[in-house]
Amino acid sequence: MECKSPVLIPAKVPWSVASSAPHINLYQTEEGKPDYVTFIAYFKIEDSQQSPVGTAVQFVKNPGEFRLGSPDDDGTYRLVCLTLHGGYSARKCFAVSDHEVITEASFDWRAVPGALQPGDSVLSALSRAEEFFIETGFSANPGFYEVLGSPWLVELGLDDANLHHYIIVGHDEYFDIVAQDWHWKVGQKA
Amino acid sequence: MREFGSAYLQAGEYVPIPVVAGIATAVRVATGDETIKQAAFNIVAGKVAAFGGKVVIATGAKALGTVAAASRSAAAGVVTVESVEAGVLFGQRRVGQNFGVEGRPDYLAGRSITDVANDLRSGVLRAVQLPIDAFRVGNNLVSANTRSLAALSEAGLSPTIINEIQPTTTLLQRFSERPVIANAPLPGPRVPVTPTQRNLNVLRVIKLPR
Repeated sequence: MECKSPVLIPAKVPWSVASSAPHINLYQTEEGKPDYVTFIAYFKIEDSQQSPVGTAVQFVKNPGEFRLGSPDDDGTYRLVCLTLHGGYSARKCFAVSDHEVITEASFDWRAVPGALQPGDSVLSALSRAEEFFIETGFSANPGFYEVLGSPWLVELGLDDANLHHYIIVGHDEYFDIVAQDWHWKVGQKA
Repeated sequence: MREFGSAYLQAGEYVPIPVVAGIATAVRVATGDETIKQAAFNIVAGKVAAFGGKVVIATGAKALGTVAAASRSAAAGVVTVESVEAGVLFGQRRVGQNFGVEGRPDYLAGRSITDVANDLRSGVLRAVQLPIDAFRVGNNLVSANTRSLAALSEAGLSPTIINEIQPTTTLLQRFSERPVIANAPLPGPRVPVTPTQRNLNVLRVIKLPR
């Protein structure tokens, strides 16, 4: 019998969770339910791609607590606050290896334009991600997904409830979250 | 899959060795020790042919040990082992100061890149003890384990063992952002060292040896 892998559906957002320094923090309610998550996000559209020459270094400071920013502010790296509605459960897990954060083979990535697909080379996948971003303005691989067909929801007996399984993928860790819905807002530069 | 020593090798499959400096060969990792020995022989023979005897890998049993070590450190389904003189580029925006602890050998676990580089310089450690996992990006090989490549580079050494791995989406994602410093493109020959992934103040920049 064929066993279908859970499907990752990428969030339609113009950012991606910063791949090397995401600074992810999960905040809970007094009842211990997931409330909101903050992390540093990369806004590709703000990236001027202008590389100054020389050996000057760029200092990146700890962004601190989230402060609401204006959408008109620019900044390639900014803090994002992901507010969770009807947060039910969350867990933090460590990267499964040096080469992948979540067990990639356990998921169906076909809906993620920036992911490696069977037969892809790195360059062809990067090219497809670039085209997707130019065409849509959304990140081709935001690092934030909904998991369709989640075995965790089944395990929790919540697969029929009005709840969704989301994954936020960082650098050395990832977060599984069960909630009803989410929305995001942008904060200060990071 | 079967166990050979402590290395897990795919049984009954032809495993391609990456083409480096014109080497094109294949290793059949199959059912018997004799085949494994032949595979090691092929590696050594290929290197001799390609570099006119400037071989880094030793012969016989040492090469077999290299196969085992490389296979242990590489991802599942992996491929191969190789000793090259061609460069492998950095594939990450930054590198932390210290090696991780989990799953690392004692001579790396929790140690700083500087300490490991000093041991490499003094001969306490050898480059063969820091195999590099790398994947192809166009015509380049790009490192997946940045700290090992950084330690080798800081000691003025190049990798002597390269396990070619299949890229993952996680590794691909590392190329999606701008470099921490301006002159360290991804993939590229330089990587900045930062205290932690949450503190990107650049302590120093490590370059590949020329």
